[in-house]
Amino acid sequence: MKRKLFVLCALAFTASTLHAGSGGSIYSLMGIGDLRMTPNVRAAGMGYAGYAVTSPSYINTLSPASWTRLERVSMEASLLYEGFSSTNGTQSRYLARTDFSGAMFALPLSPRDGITLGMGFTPYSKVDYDTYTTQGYTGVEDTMLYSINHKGLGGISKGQIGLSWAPTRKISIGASLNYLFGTLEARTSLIPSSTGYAPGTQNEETTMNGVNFTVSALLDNLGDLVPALSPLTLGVALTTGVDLSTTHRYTYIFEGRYDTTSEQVGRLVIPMTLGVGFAYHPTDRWLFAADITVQPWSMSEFRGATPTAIRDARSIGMGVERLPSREPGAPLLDRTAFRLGFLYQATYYNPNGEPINAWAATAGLGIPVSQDTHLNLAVDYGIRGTLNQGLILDHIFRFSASLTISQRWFMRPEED
Amino acid sequence: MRDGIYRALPIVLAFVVAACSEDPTEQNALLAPLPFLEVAVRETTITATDGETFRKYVPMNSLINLVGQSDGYTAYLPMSIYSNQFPTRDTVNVVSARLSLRAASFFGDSSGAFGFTVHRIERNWNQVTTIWDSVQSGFYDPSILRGQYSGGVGADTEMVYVELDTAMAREWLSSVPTGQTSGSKFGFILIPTPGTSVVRGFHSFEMDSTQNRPSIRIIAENLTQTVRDTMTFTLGIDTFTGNVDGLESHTDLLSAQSGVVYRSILNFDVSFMTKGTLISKAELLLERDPRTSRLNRFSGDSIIAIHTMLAKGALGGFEPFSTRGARKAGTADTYVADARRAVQAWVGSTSYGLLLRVGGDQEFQSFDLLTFHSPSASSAALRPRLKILYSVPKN
Repeated sequence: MKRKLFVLCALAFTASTLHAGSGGSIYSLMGIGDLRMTPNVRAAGMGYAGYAVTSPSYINTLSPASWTRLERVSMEASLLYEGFSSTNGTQSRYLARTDFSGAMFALPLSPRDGITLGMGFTPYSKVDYDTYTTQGYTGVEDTMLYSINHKGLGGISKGQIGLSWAPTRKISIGASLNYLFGTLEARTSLIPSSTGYAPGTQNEETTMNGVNFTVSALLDNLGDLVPALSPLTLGVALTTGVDLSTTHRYTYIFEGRYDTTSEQVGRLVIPMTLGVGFAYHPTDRWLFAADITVQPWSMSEFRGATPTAIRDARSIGMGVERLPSREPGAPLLDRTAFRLGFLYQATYYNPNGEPINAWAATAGLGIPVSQDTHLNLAVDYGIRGTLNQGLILDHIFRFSASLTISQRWFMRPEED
Repeated sequence: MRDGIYRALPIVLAFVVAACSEDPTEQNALLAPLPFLEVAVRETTITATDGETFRKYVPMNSLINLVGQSDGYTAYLPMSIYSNQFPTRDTVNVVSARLSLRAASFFGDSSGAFGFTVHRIERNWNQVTTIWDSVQSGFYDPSILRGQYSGGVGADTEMVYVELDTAMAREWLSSVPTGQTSGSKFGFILIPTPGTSVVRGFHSFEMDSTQNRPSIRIIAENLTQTVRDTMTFTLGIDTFTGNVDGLESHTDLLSAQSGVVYRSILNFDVSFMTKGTLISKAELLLERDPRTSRLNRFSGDSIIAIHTMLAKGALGGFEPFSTRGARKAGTADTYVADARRAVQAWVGSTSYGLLLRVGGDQEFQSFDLLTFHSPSASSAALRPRLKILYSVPKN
């Protein structure tokens, strides 16, 4: 056990200190950046569907109600590789990065009642862009050619702690308290092409934090209503909006000197998120799932106004999983879970009134490393954006991996 | 073994794939009509609001020391051999003591008379704190002449020899009374004689070459006059203190006077620039007044140094960092200096102005005077001005 915990911690530590790569999508300069709404790596292989998907060992970060089915203490740490092959029709480039993608812990306090305590950290949004614009100034007495480097960094993380409970065998409910925190940086550097002119950098930094809540419910085995629906599970999750307290400051780096403005306190309102999903188990070895998520970003607010280039977001994900065999002695391939899925997103990006939509095809594996340890891998390939109005088209390749350890704790050894 | 491969797999894969990434560069940058921060570039020229010249005596301690007087300028030259250089010879007679100085420059009328007298210094001193005020009262004994020189301006590298009072030299060879560190071995000072009308510069003890340093040769013999000994000393301390009055009263001029010194403060109002304004270029333009500037063939490039003042007024202090102001190519008397650092510091903050002084070592080894038309100059075209190219966030 200690060895596995060490491996898990090493993975989490490596991932958390890691920021390999060189950047992400330019679209992340809008709003609070690219949103991360991934239940777990298992769901990433199934079109990110998971509101109604339960598991005895995997921890769903978006639906605390799903924790009622956890049979054993579970720990999960994951990382995410994202590669963006972006083009504006004339110029292309490939930027990529690898980031920590969360660590969760769940402790079933009363498995019979589905009471499970869950906690952990996951990313909520990510800003990572780096590009240049080239301009020139011709005045009465002077001419200066220059480029501007636009660089965005940071993101919002979510720390959550919650409980689940199954009042009946068919109904599960759960709630979590989420603490959102993070810093967004927008760095703008003016770089003259001649050394006769001084360069300079303005760093706009917004630090924020606040609390919201997630409540979710699962309705299992709907066969009482329609017998054909007995393998069906419905899930719903509502995450309240959050009024983040922000401190906003500028740091100017001119002539090698740092000059920081006084902090301005403000607020950033992130709208509520509603997700509905279903999971269908026609047999013991197959699972179909689908989700729909909506988030009315038109209700968001930053510095007293709705941010520009933003619209309401929605996404639809669906996937299928061939569940692993539970037969002892089954071959490795039979004990491996195989997943496929599809995701469509109407993202909240809306630059110049041009909606930015995305789709992705996903696939994944759940490989048993040992009896109580699973390695989950997921890849997806998708397209986001458009070339209309001179915008950017991103071809996105994601690879995510997690290690899940689930074990029974507090068991008394059997006496002879 | 198989477990190990599984565990390492995601990390290895991530790094392998991440290694394929390009770096974002200006060449592969993607341009798109997204809400990037834009900047507006502007240029302006502003005229100085006010300026002042002030005198501040500072220690010179340079490679060349001045002595003499000319056109209201006066320079005294104190010097001393390190007391630990002298052997203790309580029972000798000093036959002669001769000071040798190697000339380096002159200021004023080269055909004028040049002379000085030598007086014993009466108190402890050093070259890094001694200024004009230090030598005005009680510094030396003016009543007893310890040597004198009278001549004119010779060759540029002429040697000047002065016979010193042997009684003073004998004091240097005497043992130090108990409880004292140097007894009366404080050295001597050269004071220009009243008829002098030129200032001469001599190499100091700071020179690398012993050939050019000042030296004192002492010849002494025992009481029975059977043994004679010659000693030469080239290690010591020296400096000069100079003065001229009244430069601050010319309000239509900003003066940078070396050897005393005078410096000037120049103020500009950049309050129209808000915090966050990037100064890409700022040129200070000054118009020199050739009629009142005082330079000669020893003056070198006649550059000025521009510093950012850190507080208000002459005693406000200034940044050690300076930029160089020199004559603008293609002009007769326009001086230009980079004032970008200073103007950037003023943006969104308090401006205490720019300090103008004679640049480089010249401020401490000459009587160079550079005068510029001040903000009070009758012609607006002659007033100091700042030409600024700056940028501000647009959205």
